Amino acid sequence: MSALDGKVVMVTGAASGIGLSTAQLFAAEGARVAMFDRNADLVNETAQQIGPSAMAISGDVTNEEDVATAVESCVERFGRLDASLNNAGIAGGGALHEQELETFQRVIDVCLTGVFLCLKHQSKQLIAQGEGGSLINTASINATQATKGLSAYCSAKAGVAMLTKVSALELGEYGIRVNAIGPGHTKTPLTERARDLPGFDEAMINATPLGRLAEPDDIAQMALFLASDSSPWVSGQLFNVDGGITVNELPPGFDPFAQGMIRQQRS
Amino acid sequence: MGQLDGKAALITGAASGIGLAAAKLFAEEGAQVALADRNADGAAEAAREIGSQAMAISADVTNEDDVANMVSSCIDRFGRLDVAFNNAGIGGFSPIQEYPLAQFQQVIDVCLTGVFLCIKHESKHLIAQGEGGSIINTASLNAIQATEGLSAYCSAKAGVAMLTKVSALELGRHNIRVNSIGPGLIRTPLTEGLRTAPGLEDAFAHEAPLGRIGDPEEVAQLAMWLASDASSLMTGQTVQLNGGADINRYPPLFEFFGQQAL
Repeated sequence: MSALDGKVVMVTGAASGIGLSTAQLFAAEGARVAMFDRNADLVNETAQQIGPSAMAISGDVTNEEDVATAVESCVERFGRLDASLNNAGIAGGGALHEQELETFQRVIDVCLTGVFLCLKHQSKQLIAQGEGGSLINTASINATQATKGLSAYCSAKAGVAMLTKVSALELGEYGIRVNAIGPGHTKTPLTERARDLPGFDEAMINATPLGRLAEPDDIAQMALFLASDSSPWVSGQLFNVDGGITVNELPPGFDPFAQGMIRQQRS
Repeated sequence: MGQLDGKAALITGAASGIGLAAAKLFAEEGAQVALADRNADGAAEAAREIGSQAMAISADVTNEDDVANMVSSCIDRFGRLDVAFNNAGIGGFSPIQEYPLAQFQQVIDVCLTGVFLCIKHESKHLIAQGEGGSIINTASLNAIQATEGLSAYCSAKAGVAMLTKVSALELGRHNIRVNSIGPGLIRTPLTEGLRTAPGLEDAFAHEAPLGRIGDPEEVAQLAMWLASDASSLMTGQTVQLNGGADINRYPPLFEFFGQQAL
């Protein structure tokens, strides 16, 4: 028996990266998966690859009709909804005092208001079904860790972590759990530009206790735990899945051994 | 000597509540104060009351032109800017599964994007001036504490606390400090609706170790400290100000067991 047998899950931003990896893992664990993405061609293609347990829905999480229709289509096709990974996100940044209002608003719209719209329409369905459910949002380590140049992204993700708490508070009485995942630097299309910068990956790896970058599947494994019945008492929480980078308070690249602050490295 | 002598301060949401109390206190402490508000009449009346060291500006913080003009009018009049208190905010209440998109967005626009626009234009001027400065944002207890029905407000205020950190990080080398205040339940027009619910004020006071809700003047005192040079090493922080309400996370055991050892 698999972890998600009989469950129906909706995943947004499902055509690539963490969303795609999660859709694949969920399908492998017995779930039927509604894959929602702005990129219609890519989401069709990836859903086809997964097979008959997957369906593709093209739409934009900032458009309320698209989101409402996506939940309906999922329920029409699979008969119900049990869980979701609200994962669609974009990056965008620049120095705060030079940042265009439009850029700031677009990031807030997709990353925060988009998650709100998904929670709103998914929770309506789950409340009507009356059997609880598990809603999962993709936040970021930037929900708790500030980064220069990412004022909109960090603010939106901090908002998602808080929205997760409010939703958990409001929906708890219906048996609906709501949690968030805070991925660190993960090998996805979203982080491609950063990863192209010379030395960037090395700096991230150095600062990460586990000493490597995350694969999308590392994040999908946490989503699987939260979507499954293995986490029945978990709600309102943000889980950083980041190889331990957020416990590293030192500047990236700072090495107390190399810099002589600690004389001997324990063997 | 006043604690803000020689400083020029800009306050949004200054026609009432916390903003108005801060404007009065800042002026008493020697600052020149620009009172910005959507409510032009309210801001004008408050500025007149404060006197010649105050000016009123009619502005909507969600409109970038308004915000840019607000900052330049302040500088035109006072010759400089040292302190900004980005305080304008609105409430909003609905269960998440029923929350109308337009209302959710309006709360995010005013409470979060409005603060972004203010910091953007204020910091441009502070960087150009080259003498540092202090930017203070009004977050909320709801930046760290979830409340039913307040999904938009809580998310926006958590965003403000994080925006405060990113701004502090980006602007630190210009000696611009950025901090937030997280007020709990305060007697202001914003909370009037809440406070009319029978028993709510008592319930809130009961949660707070100090056993009461707050007054705008008490929040203004913290804003004044953050605006002054007394807080010169403080940046990136959100200071909770609520009579201790945020430390209470457990049923009151003394009420169940009394105070004797168990």
